[in-house]
This record gives sequence, structure tokens and C-alpha cells, in this order.
Amino acid sequence: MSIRYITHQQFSDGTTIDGNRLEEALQKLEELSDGVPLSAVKTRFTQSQLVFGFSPILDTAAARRDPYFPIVNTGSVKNPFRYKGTQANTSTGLIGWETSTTFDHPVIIHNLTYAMLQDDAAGAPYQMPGISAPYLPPNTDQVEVHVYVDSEYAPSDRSQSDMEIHKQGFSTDAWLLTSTALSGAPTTVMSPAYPGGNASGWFINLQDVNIPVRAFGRIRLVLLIPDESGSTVLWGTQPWRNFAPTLTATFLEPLRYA
Amino acid sequence: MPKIGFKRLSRGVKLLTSHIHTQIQKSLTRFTSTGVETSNMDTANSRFRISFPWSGLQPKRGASGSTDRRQVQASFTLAPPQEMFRSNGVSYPQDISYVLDSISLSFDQRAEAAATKEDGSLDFDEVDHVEFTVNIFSKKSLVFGGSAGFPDNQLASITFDSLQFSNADFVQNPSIKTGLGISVDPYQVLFLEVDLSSFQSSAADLVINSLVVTLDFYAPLMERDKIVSNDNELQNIPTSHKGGRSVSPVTTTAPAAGALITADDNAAGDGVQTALEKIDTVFHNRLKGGYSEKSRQTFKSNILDDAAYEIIAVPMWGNGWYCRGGVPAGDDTPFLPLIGAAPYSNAVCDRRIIPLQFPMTIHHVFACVNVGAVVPTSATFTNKVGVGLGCGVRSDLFQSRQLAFAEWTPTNKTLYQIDQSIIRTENMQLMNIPLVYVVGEEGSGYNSSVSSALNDTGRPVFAGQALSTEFPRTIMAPSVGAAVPGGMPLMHGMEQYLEIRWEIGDSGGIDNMPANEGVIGFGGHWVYIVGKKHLC
Repeated sequence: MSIRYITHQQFSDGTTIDGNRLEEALQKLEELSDGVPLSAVKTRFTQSQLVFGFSPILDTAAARRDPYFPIVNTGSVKNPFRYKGTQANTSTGLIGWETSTTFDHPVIIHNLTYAMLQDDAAGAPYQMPGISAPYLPPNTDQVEVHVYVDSEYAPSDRSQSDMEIHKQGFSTDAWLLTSTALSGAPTTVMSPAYPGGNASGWFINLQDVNIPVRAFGRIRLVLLIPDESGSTVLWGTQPWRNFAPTLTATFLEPLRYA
Repeated sequence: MPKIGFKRLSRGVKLLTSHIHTQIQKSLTRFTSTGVETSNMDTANSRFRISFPWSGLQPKRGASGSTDRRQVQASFTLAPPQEMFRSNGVSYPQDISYVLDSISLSFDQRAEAAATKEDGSLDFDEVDHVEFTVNIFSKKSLVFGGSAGFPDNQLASITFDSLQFSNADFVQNPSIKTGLGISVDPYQVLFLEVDLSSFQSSAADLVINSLVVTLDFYAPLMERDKIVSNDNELQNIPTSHKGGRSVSPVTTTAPAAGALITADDNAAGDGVQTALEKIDTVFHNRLKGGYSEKSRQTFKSNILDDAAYEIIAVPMWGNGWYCRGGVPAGDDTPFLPLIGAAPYSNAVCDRRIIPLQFPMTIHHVFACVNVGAVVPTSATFTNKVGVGLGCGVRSDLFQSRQLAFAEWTPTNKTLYQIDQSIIRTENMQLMNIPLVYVVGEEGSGYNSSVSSALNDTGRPVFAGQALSTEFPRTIMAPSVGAAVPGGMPLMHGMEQYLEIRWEIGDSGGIDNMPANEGVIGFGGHWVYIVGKKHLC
């Protein structure tokens, strides 16, 4: 064994041990004991959970699809394509809900969860169309989740963004909130009762992604769904109305100096 | 914890065990037994951030926009954890304090130096009107003697001007202002306002989507919640540890009086090298504290103050909802889910599901009711806010359990109301949503000790994922003010998420409420989950 962390001094019988060497070792220990540095702490993070979400407005006339925007920009634009590697396997493309944030210190993206909540009660508005009771969402591969960090040197050029998560072409059956259609208790066990019935839908939970982000990195969290004017069979004419999403982004933030 | 003062050594001084072993033992005791406090840590603060997202904001919607579409606002408070809460609303030097460190702002600009319109198209001509001013105000709350009027102080006013969003080569979105250093009183009510007036002067009906304003605070670490003498002190905490730390004290064996102090071990005790190696090993393994993702205590714990303040802001009824009594122009009431036909008398509900990652103890729940320009008076207009713990994601055990709940009408809102304020023309009500408790086992916070009108609240509730050893939990009350304990929650320690619901309804019909009385103001309502998170 040897002393590795506190001091470079080592003590052994037969070698010179004077007060100065001992004093140096003990002073280092004193400094450590009275002011523990961050590097000495293994569990030096705490989580911060940011929650975003909404219930879509059921205004068919005005076609208010907030907060989704088209993913393709046209005309004299800097970024004709906002996102990399989208797979528009519908006839016309995708729309995106992009949420962004930044930190003035390095962080770790720990978890990203899109709860795309649907209601199982007959006639409830937040459902995929044409599903007979008992309600269970149909399978689709038209949902995408992207996470970007803007380039440090060309932050306005999306072609230079770092793509940290690129999840597409997956089967939503793998991310069902419940694997079977439910009936009964959960809506009434807690108050207030939810009039739309039991929670159903998709729960896309990207766990332990462990993505470090530099200080002032611009983080963009994106959910993509089909555009309304494409194949309307599965998603209906207004796909953004089929579910009420909650995005929870969990970051690990380091402790801060006093 | 005071600093450890070591005896000084120099050449020629007679070496005693009090120079070596006693000193090292002091450190070993601190790091392997009693635990390190914040006063002995360089990084004694943890960060927490309150994130306010808005979408579907159209400040100019309609002919020219109304006055209550010029700003979006939210009120909130950073109430101390229950054990530090003082019912007189006075913060002492030894109490927790918060510092607002930075403010960031972002929104979806479609990656262009442009404004966006309702149909999603870009507008490069009107980008000059894309400007936000973030204001932060504070005031004394109603229950601590404040008025029901305007804020007393302005803590910050920061403009994110259009230049930041109109330079095609360097759009500063997200944008952040750092180093603010603004101290915040835990008992004050705070107001965040984003001024959108510039959008109203645009020629186009611009829309703002995914606007996110984040307030980044820091506060000292603190001791985590634990059961000291009775299991009813903390609800739903794993009985395997009850919040206690797992420690394994390490000791040195000092040579007897008069014995030779050597570098290596001898029969009389630890040598200098061995004693130093013991404390060196502690640092070499690095110091630990807090819980694992599965609510398991750190093994072995070195840090006493391993908990941190946390507040999660949950947007409810946002995304452009704008509902008022009567039949005003531009009202969204007909588009509420399951509201039925006019006069719209069904109760409707919004909900969010927040997955639990690392465990936390929930000390308070608050709700901000953004009622708009006219405070509702309709006796049948009811708000219900509930928070639950649930499980069932890709599982065959689909259960939930009440964690906090309040139901009020304009007639009895004083049972829960902490504050009412006016920002510009808008009214903000801040409500305390009591945690569940059994009568006789109330917690502290905004309760009858603060104001006789307020309902009581429950003791802190632990919420966290678990593995088998952490499944058994202490009793969690079945409801707010329950007569008897309800036994172990139905999730059996396997909770996966927090569910937040907000029900709004007027059995007499929203259209029959007095004209323009606020149901959902511009920007929506908020629920705040306040508690402690832990080192991880």
C-alpha cells in the first residue's frame, strides 16, 4: 500500500522521517478535511427535471397545431432542413415539436421521456382515429425523437449540429404505456378523476442516455410526427390532436462552488 | 462543522500521538462516521432550475390583440423544506437561502432568423418585433400580511432584443444571461413575466411556440429527510433505511502513552503510514452520499448534507388555451376536451405524467391559478388539483395513489390560498395543495399555523423507484385529512411516475359565468412540486 491521494509523502521504517515531512502530509489532510474539493466527491451531481407538455386545442376550423412546425424551410433560408436524417415515410413529411434550453455549466443528459398520452374512453378526443373499444394505440413507425447540440463554432448552421440521439423507424408497440387495453381503477384511485378514461398511448422513455454537454451548449429536443396532409388513414387529418404529450428531460448538474 | 485545527509540527518537536493519530482520527470520524457538512465542502451549493414553457402564444390574436395578451406571467414561491419552515414567515440567517444565478430564454424559430406565423410559415419582415423582456417581481404573500395588489419589488428585468434573433449567422436562441446573483427570500411570492408587447406592434399575427424561460438558482446542500423516532414522520420512505445513512466507521489505533511512534505498524498500534493510508483510502475511493436511482442508500456514506432543494414547474392548460366566462370573442372554451355542448357545464381535466428518475421527498405542492383580468366569482366554478404517485408503465400493475389534493370554488378558496396579486392587468392566485395526511399527523408549511383560514398539510412523502429491498415503505395516508392510515400504497414501492391533474368546471356552464371571468388566463396555469433531491 501507499498513500496516493492526500500527499506524495510516504513513510517507512528506516527512512528519514522528520517533522517537516509529517507536517506537510498533515497539512494536506487538514486542507482536504476542511474544504473538500469537487474532485474528491464521487456523487457530485443532482438531477434537474424540466417538464414540458400541453393538451392540444381541439379547434378543427383554425387548424391550430401549436407547437408543431414544419421541418422543412423554403425560400431564401439558411437551413432548408432543420433536422438531420429524418425518415418521412409518409407521403408528405413530418412536423416537429422542438424544445431547446441551455446551461452555463457542463451537464449530463440523463433521461428523456415523451409521454404521448391518449385516452381509452369511448369518444375521448385524444386518440388515434378509427380504433374500436377497448382502445389500444395502433402500431406505427412514424414517430421520431432527435436530440441535438448546436455546433460551438457555427451555431446557426443546423448542418453542423451534433446529433446526440437519433431514434426513428421504431415500432411504437415497443413503447406502449400499457401493453393491454385497460379498464377500471387508475382514473378513480386518485382525484380528480380523469374524464377521458384510463391513460393509454406511448411512453418513449430513453433511459440512462448519459450524454455530456459542454457549458453553454444549446440543446434541442425534438419530437417528430407525420404531417397532416399525408396518409390520413392512421393518424387522421390532424395528427397533433391525437395525444397530449408530456416531455420530461432529466439533466444531471454538478455541484456549485460556494 | 468547525474546521479541524491540526497541531503544528516542525523539526525538533517531540512527536506525540496527538500530532499524528488524533488528527487523523478526527478526519476519519468526519469522513466515515458523522459525515461531511456543507461548511467543509468547496462545492457546498446545488443547482435547481424552474423552467416555464409556453406555446401557442399569439399576442396579437384577433384584430389587434387584447391587453391581457401582452404578457404571460406565473407566480411561484420557493418555500423552505418542512423542517425549516417558519410559520411567521421570517427567514433567519441559519435558514436556507436561494440565489438566482441565470436566466435563459429560447423558442422555436424554425432555425431561421425569422418570426413565425400561425400557419407555421416564416416571416422575415416582422422579425424586428421578436423581442422579449423577462421581468421578475416579488411581494409579501397575502397570508404573511401582504396586500392582494401589485408586487412590492422588481428583482430583475432583462430584455432579449430582436438583434439576438435576427442575425442569420448568429441567432442567439437559446440565449442566457448569467452571473445575476440575486438573493431570494423563501417566503416571498415571486412573479415571472415575459413581456410580449413588441409582438403586438407587428403587422402580422405572429405565433410563439415552445417559449422556454428558465430560472437557474443555487442553494446550499442540506441533510436529507430521515425518520428519527416514529415511522409517521416520513410517508412512503423505504423501511430498509428510513432515510438513514449507511456508515462504516474507520479508526486508527494510536500507540499507548510512551510507546514509540513508528512509520510502520508495531505492536503498540498503527504506524504513521498505516494511519495515513486509512484516510487516504477514503479519499481514494472518493466521497459518496445520496441515493441510487432505485432509492438505495449509498454504501458507504461519507457526506451528511447530501440533499438539495428542488422545484419542478409543471405547465397545465398552456399551449394557447384562453378561456373566460360568458361568450367572449376568441374564447377557447368550445375546444376543451370533453366539455360538451354550450353552455359547457362538463368538468374537463388536463394531466401530465412525470417519470421518476432519482428519488425525491416532496414537501410542498403549490398551484398558480392564472385567472386573467377578472377574478371568478361564480359559486359553482370549481378547480381541483391532484398529484398522484403511479406505476403501470409496460407493467401489469397499474395503480396510483393520492399524494396531494385540493378542491376549491371562489367561495372557499381561502382554505388554500396563499396569495393573490395583480401583474399589469392580470390576476394570479397562488394556492397551497395539501399533502395527504392522517388527522393528528399533520406536517408543517402553509397551514393553520400560518393562517387560521388555511387547511393543514401532510408530512413529506418519499417518491422513488425501487428494487426489492426498497419495496416495503412506511405508511402513506390515503387522502388529505384521512381518519385512519391507509396502509402501504398500492404500488408496493414500485412507483414510476408522478401524475398531475387539474380539473376545471362550472356545473352551471362556463358560458353562464359572469362575462370575462377568468377560467384559464393567457399562458395557462402551473403546478409546482417542491422538495428535496439527492446527490447521485
